[in-house]
Amino acid sequence: MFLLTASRAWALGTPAGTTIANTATVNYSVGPGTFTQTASTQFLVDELINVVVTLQSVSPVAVTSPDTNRQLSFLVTNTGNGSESFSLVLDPAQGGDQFDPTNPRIYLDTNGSTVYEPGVDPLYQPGVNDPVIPPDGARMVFALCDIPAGQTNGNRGDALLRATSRTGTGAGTIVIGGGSGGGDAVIGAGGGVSAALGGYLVTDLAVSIVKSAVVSDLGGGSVPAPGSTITYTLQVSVAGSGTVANLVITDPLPPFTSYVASSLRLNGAALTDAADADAGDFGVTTANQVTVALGSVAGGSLPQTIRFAVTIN
Amino acid sequence: MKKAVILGLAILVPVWAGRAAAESTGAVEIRAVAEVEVKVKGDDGKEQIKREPAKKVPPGGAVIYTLRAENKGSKPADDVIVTDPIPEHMNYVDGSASSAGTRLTFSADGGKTFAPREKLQVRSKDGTMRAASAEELTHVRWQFEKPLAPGESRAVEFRARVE
Repeated sequence: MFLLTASRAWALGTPAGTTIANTATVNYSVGPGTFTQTASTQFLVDELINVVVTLQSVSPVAVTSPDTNRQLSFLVTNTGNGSESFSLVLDPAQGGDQFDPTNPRIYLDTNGSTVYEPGVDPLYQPGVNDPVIPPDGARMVFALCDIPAGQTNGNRGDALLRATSRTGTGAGTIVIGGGSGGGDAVIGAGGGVSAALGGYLVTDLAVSIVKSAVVSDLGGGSVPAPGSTITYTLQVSVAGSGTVANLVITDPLPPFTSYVASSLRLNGAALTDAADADAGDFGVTTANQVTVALGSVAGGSLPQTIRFAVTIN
Repeated sequence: MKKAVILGLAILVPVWAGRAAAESTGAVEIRAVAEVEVKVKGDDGKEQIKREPAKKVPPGGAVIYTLRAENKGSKPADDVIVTDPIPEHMNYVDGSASSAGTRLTFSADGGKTFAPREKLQVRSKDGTMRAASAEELTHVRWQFEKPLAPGESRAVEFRARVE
């Protein structure tokens, strides 16, 4: 669930420190002679400081109470025209939620991955390893929090990640000589600061799948031999309170088996093998795999049964 | 951005290249000034807009280019033409060029051809012709309608914005 394209804000064009020169020409004639004169001007392009922070992970993150090291990811994008250093703050003390996540930490992505890698991505320490981001560049940062004990289902705790230009803040502020490339730094309309909010939702929702198999051989028995048919049954149930959204069950075929065409059933009703209006398909969404989309399933609702058959090669 | 192919219509600029090679010395001098507008508080406490030399400009900032031609000789100068390229990283601010007493034309092909703003066209990717956008302009040109008399000076100006 990455929103890179939707949330991308583009930097202004001219790099800070660019010299823009211009030479005007006058042509004229006096009697039979023609003449040319030129005159030049030049100036330096200042740094314009702008930053945009966007949430990159699904929010709210489903957590239990208590819980540890739950992750939100944010992208800090330098939308200015010069290289800039930003200080970061992860603030779990937000209003409008039911609890404050604890032990906030920020880790800096080092290798372009989208999840925190312990031992690889370093802990952010303000003033020590503030990320320096080139113009139009972006840095993924991971916010990790713990979840306090005693929170009930449905309680949400938010955390705000804020990035602040280390050169200056306040829209329109000019920092003389503070621009990258030798010019001044001008704080852009965003004030040199940007923040994005992510949340944690306490839930005890749990999806369980119980899979069983029945073998019937060609002789009417139950010996798993070439030519025998295996009928698989998947019983899907959701426990807890609340609703699981967009629940999709997938099951790859075992090796050395072949799917029995048109054998897919959901709660006893036949599903076609094609990807169409019904909930399931075989081999279309993913090759050699049964896929059934159950949609939104409420916790405590009746179990759903998926059935299909294969033959042993 | 300023590399669009162009077919200027109604190009009426004299062809300087066809004349004798231009000499470097002459009686007319040109001075170029790049300025920005800044708001300052006057003695009466009211905000005034003042022009200052452009030394450092942020992206999005507008620069006013003023080009003054002065005849320091003893004879009138004829066919005076002032040409100024719109620098890379800058876009012409439509409607900003002065035109009084001049014939004002623009180029969108690096100065090869010139046409009045409303007639300036570029070729689209699909091969059809369309009006040039302000971002596609590469040069501004002023042809003085009258000779520049000895001792006389005249200025033209335009604005461009840093990308």
